[in-house]
Amino acid sequence: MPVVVDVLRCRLAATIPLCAVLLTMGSACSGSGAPERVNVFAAASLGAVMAEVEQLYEAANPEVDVVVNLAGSSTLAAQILAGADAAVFASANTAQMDLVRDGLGLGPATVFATNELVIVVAPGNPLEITGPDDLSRSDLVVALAAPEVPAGAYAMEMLRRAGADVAPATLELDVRAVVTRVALGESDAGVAYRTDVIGRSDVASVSVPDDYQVVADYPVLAIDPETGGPVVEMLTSAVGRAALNDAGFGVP
Amino acid sequence: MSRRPSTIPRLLIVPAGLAVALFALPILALIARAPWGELTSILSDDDTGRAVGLSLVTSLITTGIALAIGVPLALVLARTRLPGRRIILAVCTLSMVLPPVVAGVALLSVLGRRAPLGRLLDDWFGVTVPFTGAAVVIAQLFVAMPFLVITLESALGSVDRGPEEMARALGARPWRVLTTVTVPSVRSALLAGTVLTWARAIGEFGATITFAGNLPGVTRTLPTETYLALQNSPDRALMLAVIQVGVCLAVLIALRRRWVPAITGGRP
Repeated sequence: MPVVVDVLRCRLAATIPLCAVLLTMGSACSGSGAPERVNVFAAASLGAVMAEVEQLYEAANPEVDVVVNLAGSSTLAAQILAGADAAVFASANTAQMDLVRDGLGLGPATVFATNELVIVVAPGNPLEITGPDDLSRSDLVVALAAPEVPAGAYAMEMLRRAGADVAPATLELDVRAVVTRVALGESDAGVAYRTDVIGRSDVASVSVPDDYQVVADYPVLAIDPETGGPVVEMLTSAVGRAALNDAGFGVP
Repeated sequence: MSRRPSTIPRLLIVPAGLAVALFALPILALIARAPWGELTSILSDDDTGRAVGLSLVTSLITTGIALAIGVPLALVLARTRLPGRRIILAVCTLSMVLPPVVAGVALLSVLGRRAPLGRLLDDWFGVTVPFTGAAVVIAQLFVAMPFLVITLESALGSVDRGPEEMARALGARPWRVLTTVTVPSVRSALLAGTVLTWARAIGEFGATITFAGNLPGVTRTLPTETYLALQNSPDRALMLAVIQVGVCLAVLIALRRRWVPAITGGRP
């Protein structure tokens, strides 16, 4: 038992300074005369794009503080429907956007980006995987996202269109975990979004032929037109589109 | 049953009540929110059956292996003058404070396809551990067995060693001392540690998903099934959580009936 106590004591000692830091940060953020806060709720895959848009928007509008809240689209939709103060909702699928629109009685959303599927393989593609058909090879350990999450549902649909009968070794709980499996070498191949693999050197990607491709639409909507509208405008402007392109998204 | 005067300050009722509320309220709220009308359809669903079955089988295997190697470990640590015993105990219980996902990564670093031991197993026996039922059990052992080791080691350290030494002096062989004196003297700690280990194993999620992955009937345990249900049918997730609480309560109550004297240390 003394060992446990020692471990707990160490953890406690480490926690106290951390709490102090967090408290200071908290009070620094909430002073009077603070800039107007605009909360942007964005799908996790939009992280890099939103960071850039936030910076550009705040540079052009110093009186505004854009706060980006990143999470899975279904989590964000649930938060917004529960009354979270979101000015903008950028979703990774139309289903969650429709839920929010129906719930709040809002007009149509704009599709501002698209994401396509790729086959994730080890760097240099040592097992010579050339397309969806190869994923049914019995010598491959394949990781897919679970069909309960959007990326998994898209992957299953893509494989169905390709007529590939794949027996995955694991159905990951989110699409990032699929990429991690391949990066760690536990899986030989997986299916993920192009944006998940772009810029990574620990994995490579093989394109999916257009005939089988399943494209994910990303809709965006200003929940609060007054404060959120300009942010949506920037996202769909030339600079927004450039940022999206850099991150591997398609722009309609 | 005569009333004895309390030996503790009455005011302690207040923090104790707070502690009860912390534990009871979330469970009660879960039970209240669960869609009971769907209980039978969810229980008879194949996915639920597979996940409950896999969770029960793997957690019981884990508990069995934990007893087979965790009890000897606790005995060696508590009854020998092995150098570095404190350090060994610390190492063997460190996984309790690791975030479970990190525990999964640690296991992959040893038994993954590209990891040292994992590669040997693959080359020599053609065995790969991740994505198998064995990986589920290993993940559960890694995070759950410390509960047995630490409970038992601590009990062995505090129990009076007089009877053991006397039995030895009277000529009993070590195995006889172990089975007739040492183990009976700590049987309530042994049972408590076993139950804790089993409960931690059946609730294991983070290390399992990281190390073993998720495939129905192979590696998808009840906690993973519940997490996935949360993605698009929260009602089903709530009901699965209630089923998990129910399964665990049923096992604990069954054990309690059978083992009342052991659990309460002989008190009624």
